[in-house]
Amino acid sequence: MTELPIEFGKVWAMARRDMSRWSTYKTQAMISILGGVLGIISWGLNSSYVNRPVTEYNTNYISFLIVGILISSLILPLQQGVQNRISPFTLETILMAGIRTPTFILGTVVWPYILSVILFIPQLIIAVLYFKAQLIINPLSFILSLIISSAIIFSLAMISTGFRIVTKTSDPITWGLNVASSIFSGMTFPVQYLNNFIPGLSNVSWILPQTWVYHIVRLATLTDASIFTPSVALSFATASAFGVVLLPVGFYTFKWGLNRAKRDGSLGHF
Amino acid sequence: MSEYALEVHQLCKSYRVHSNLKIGKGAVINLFNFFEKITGYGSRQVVALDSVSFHVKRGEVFGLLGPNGAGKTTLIKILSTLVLPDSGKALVEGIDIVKRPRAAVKKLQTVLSESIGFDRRLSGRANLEFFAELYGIPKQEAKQRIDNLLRFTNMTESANVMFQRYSTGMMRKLLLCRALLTDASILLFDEPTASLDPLAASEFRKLIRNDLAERQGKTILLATHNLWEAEQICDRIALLKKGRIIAIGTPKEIKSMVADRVNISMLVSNFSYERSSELTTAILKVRGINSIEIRDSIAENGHVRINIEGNKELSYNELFRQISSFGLEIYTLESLQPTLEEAFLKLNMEASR
Repeated sequence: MTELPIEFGKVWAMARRDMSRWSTYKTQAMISILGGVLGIISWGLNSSYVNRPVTEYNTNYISFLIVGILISSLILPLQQGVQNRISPFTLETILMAGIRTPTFILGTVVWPYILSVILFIPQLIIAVLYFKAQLIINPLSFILSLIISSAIIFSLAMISTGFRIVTKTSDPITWGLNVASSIFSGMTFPVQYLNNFIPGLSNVSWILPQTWVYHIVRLATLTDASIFTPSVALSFATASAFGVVLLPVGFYTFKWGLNRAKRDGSLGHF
Repeated sequence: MSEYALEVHQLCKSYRVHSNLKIGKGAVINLFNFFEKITGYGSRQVVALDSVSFHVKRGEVFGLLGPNGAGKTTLIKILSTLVLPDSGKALVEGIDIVKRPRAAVKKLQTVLSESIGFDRRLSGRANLEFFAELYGIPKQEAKQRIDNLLRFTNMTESANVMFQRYSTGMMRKLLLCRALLTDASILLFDEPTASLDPLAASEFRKLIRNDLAERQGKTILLATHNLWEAEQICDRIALLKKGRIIAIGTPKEIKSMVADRVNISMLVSNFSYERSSELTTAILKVRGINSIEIRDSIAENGHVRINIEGNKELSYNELFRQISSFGLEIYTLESLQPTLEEAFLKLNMEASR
């Protein structure tokens, strides 16, 4: 019988283990819940102050920013999940259990992802009820945008983790991705705004996969964009192309890092 | 089915050692380190294993004996598929560890000295349950097996205590429980009793020799630098030095490799210190004598101790004739067999030449 590439039982075992650990840090658990709620309040207050229309998405700045923050809190844990679990000796022990790479990667991110979804709900309620964020969600596009975004961010996580297994504490790839994301991806402002400083600068943004993550999720949550509309379909197709290219790149970079560390004998070094 | 549980053929491994820059933590230096790690440029090679070959029979307890840096841990990590060899071949129950690492690693369990891998915030039992799931053991069977293992290692009472509260001995026992979860027939131990107190170490050795090896018939590969431990537990031993096997055999065989040297220790009376150098010269002329030591500083009830090292050619008649000619009377006489430690030191010294 052909084995599944991902052993879901093992993925779930890893998620439950992470959840149990998380629940033992009661103070941290409380702070992370509170932090999520306070974070959205803080961003909401900031955006209320500078509120202006965002024509690119036919909405106001509060709605634009709050969706950006929500995307970050929903998707970034995917990126952090793998990196955080590459701790001393964890990798060696898990690998000695003979589990497959996709199982290991998925298993390490499932609990952070579930947690971020749980934290996302109160944030969403505050954003809509208190700050009057105008969400006009297209359910199909929204689900699709989450899947594509997760694939992109997860791929980036695998790429940076692959390098981190080799370089240990930090690596220029993750650093570069974070810097580029904070400047060009348009989390807190529409990327077209960059053209006010250097004409054509926003073109750089569209090379970055993170920009497409924010873009398609905003289309799906702020504009009721249907994927059957040609312009929306094109955006989703472009984002999907990033996902399709990056997933194998991420997977092989991760495997490259693993094999490289095995050759160097540095799997347990951190 | 292969006759051997483990087969190692001409295994070689060298590591890159990266430069240690002490200039500070500037971005340029970080980028240089990154470049060096990715490309290997600027690093030097250190040999960890040099054409290592041996076989371990099924049910055998095989020891890898050597000082720190001899390559023991590297060898165990290669067999556990955590390190890739540069060349050579290693088979676990006939499965190539490089070509089919997942299949090979399922045949064995490894207890590394430094690698814990347990979640410190979970109890010992919860940790074992987690690994049982990773090993794909059905829930009911896992529960039963964990209960048995906890009983076997006397850990039942502390099973529900958070792992971070465990003593070193308890951690080691939990590592053993994890290794035994899958009931693998091959167990690899890296310094299993290091950092244990003498009582816990003795208990652990008994567990390995009496229970795992003799009762359960498991194949055990054990890396240690404790000579006494190797002699007590192992059926056969490989002596490693700087990545090379310098001797291999049973402890008795290894001792006999240096037994061509004869060590005689005697207590004599009527010793004349004035004729000490004359006696030394005369005895050194006896066929087969390598060295003589007169321990004149330690008088034992008025006697003097003479230690003589000879070889297989040693003429005892001639030796005793010379001793009598100096008017000495032999009070006690011992012919000393080399210990494993002496054998190890001598073989080590020979390998250095």
